[in-house]
Amino acid sequence: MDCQESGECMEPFITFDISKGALTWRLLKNKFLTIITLGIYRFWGKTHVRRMFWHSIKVGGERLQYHGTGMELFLGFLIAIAILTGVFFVFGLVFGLLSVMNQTFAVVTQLANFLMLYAFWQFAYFRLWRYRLSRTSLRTIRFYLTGKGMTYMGRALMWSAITLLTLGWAYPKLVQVRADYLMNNVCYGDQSFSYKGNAGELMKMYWPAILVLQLAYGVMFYQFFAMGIYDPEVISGNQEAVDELVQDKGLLITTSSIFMTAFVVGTLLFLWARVKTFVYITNNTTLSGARFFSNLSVGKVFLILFVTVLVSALIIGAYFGLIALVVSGAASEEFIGIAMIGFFIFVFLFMDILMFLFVLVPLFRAAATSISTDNPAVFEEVAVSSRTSPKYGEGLADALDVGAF
Amino acid sequence: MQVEARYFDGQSSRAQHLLVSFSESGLLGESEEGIVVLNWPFEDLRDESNPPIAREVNLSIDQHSQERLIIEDVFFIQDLRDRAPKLSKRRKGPAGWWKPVVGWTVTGVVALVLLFMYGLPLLATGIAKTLPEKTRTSIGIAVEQSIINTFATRPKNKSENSDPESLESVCHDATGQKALDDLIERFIANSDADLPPVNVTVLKSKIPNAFALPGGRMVIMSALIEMADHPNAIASVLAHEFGHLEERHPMDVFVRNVGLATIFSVAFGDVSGGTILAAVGQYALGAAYSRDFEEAADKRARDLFSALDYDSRPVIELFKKLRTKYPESEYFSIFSSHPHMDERIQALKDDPTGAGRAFTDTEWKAIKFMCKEEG
Repeated sequence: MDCQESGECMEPFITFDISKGALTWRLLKNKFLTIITLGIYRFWGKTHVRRMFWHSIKVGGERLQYHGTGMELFLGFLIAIAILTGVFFVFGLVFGLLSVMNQTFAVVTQLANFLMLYAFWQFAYFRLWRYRLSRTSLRTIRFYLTGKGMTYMGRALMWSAITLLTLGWAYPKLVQVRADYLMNNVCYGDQSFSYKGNAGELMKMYWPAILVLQLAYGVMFYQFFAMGIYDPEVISGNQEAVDELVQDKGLLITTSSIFMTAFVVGTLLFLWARVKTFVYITNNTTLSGARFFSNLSVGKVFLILFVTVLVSALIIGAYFGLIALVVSGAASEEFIGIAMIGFFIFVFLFMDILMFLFVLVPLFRAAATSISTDNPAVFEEVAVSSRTSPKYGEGLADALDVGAF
Repeated sequence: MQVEARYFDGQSSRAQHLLVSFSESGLLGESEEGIVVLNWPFEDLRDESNPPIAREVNLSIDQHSQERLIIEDVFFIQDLRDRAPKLSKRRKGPAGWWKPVVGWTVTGVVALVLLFMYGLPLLATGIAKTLPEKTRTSIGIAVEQSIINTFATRPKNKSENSDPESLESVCHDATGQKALDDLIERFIANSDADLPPVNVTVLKSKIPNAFALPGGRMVIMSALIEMADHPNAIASVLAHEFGHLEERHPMDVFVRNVGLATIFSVAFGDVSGGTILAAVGQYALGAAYSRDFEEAADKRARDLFSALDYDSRPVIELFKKLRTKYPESEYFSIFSSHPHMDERIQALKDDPTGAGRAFTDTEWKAIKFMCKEEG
């Protein structure tokens, strides 16, 4: 095509510069206050973190502003509680009693429960972005999201079902449908973003992941049904059942190693496709004729995610180290007890803070600063829009805790 | 002093470059052509950056106005901080902002209270009464097994994962067991309830306690038997637990606890503070529910003792001993799942049941001896 392919005529226009010290201090403070207020403080804590985050992002030299308040989030939460308890309760009562009377209903109840949560999650995800965008301004002009949460939920549910029925092959279409509805509804002042992508292009990114993961799950189902590896008897350590399974050792080792390899490779391919999707969506989005371009590299993302793997490995290692001490009797029981408690308190208190600082922040930075445009001035000539913004916080989204920040 | 600043009128995203300076009472902004664009009194100036940014102010003039003035000159900002008294203060919210807060807090609380008071008990009792016997029994066995594993005093230095059935923590003694089973038979003979086969297990443990479990199962700990000086004290405890079984309380409590856990975890989110709140709330509410059950079981025990003409007063001594060993804290009585000890003792004194003994001397000796074979 033209210079967009190479990004030559594109100028970077987003910077992200956050003080790690201030952020760490804020996260620690939030954790402490959340614990002593029995969880109530988290709405205000989240708001503080968001303000810091938003202010750290400069678009064309101007900072993003966050206008949300802790009280809004708290109200949204209360509303969600009032609605959710009602809905879940009536639902629980009806299905609970049905499944008590008839065992087959228990399965239906589980499925319906899962479906309801999944549907809520989709709805909440849309509402969450509506709230966040409407509370974000750049150069005093607000962003917002048009469209309806129910429509988004309906489309996402339909294509999720088709994805399930086609054993994953419709997944690129699901990604496309969700991105299409979200991105085309994002507005900035009186201008709206436009996204033109197609599922075919996304399929080119996802087919290897789908194929390899299908192999992994295929082997898993084979082990499950033909070999009985996940038989409750085997899991609970019944010697006869284990012996029977181990009889064909060769097959067990072969299938298990195929599964492990396919699962790891498939997951990596999937992550690769996710990064490529971000780039694809960015490159196919425009705002009043201005085009965007992302040079986010898969290697960079993998490097950041590798930190997660490393930290998790360290924690699991520490845990097994303690267990080894117990088994070998090298340390006194009291010492082990205290060490174990200390270990869990550490993981419980600081794990999310570490993840936030060393995974989320770098990922966000990598994604945001990878974007460039052929017209940085596009944000400078936008007029205010009279659209109204949602009144209360993220409601269902917050009650279901789908937000990362 | 005149410095450059960027002004946004709140109507478009276009920035206007102004030269700002201090007038006597405020901040003066002029365009490059020398036209005065703004004259903002110091008193009304606020910095919208929260937390403040060191080398930058983002000034606003009024709560309803989206106009902003961004200044990035360090010396000018320093000067401004001295002149504008309320620069770092925050603006008040719009009038009446508290109304929806109060409204929704009340709605949320009412919804939760209704759910806890009527919704959940209705659901739990419904499920407890309709659950098939087989399911109840298997839940009961599972819970009993976990109690055996948790509470029992295990002989030290023995293999940790030996078969729990053969654990020495369960006391097997044919005579004592038969005496207990016979008493249960007498209770059943005096009961109209549709009961599953009732099973009593005596567990070797230093903790004096007894439970009723789903599916007609009862557990009584050896320490309680040791503490009792009179056969009727233990018979009273068994009658109380039997009362729970008749009313299907254990299954009811089980379902309620699962329900409470679900509601609290939805309500307070998967955050650390929320988890603590959920656990505390669940514990307090769970205890409040079971207090009603305990009162019902106490009443049922009295009725059984009256019908069999047994004397229920000996249990008073056992209660007194328990109270000395585990004094009740005034402050935490909300967490206590049993009615207040004094009230229970008073009820027993007020309402005598009979004069007979629940076990013969031989039976009582056998029961007392059940867990003692190994010294």
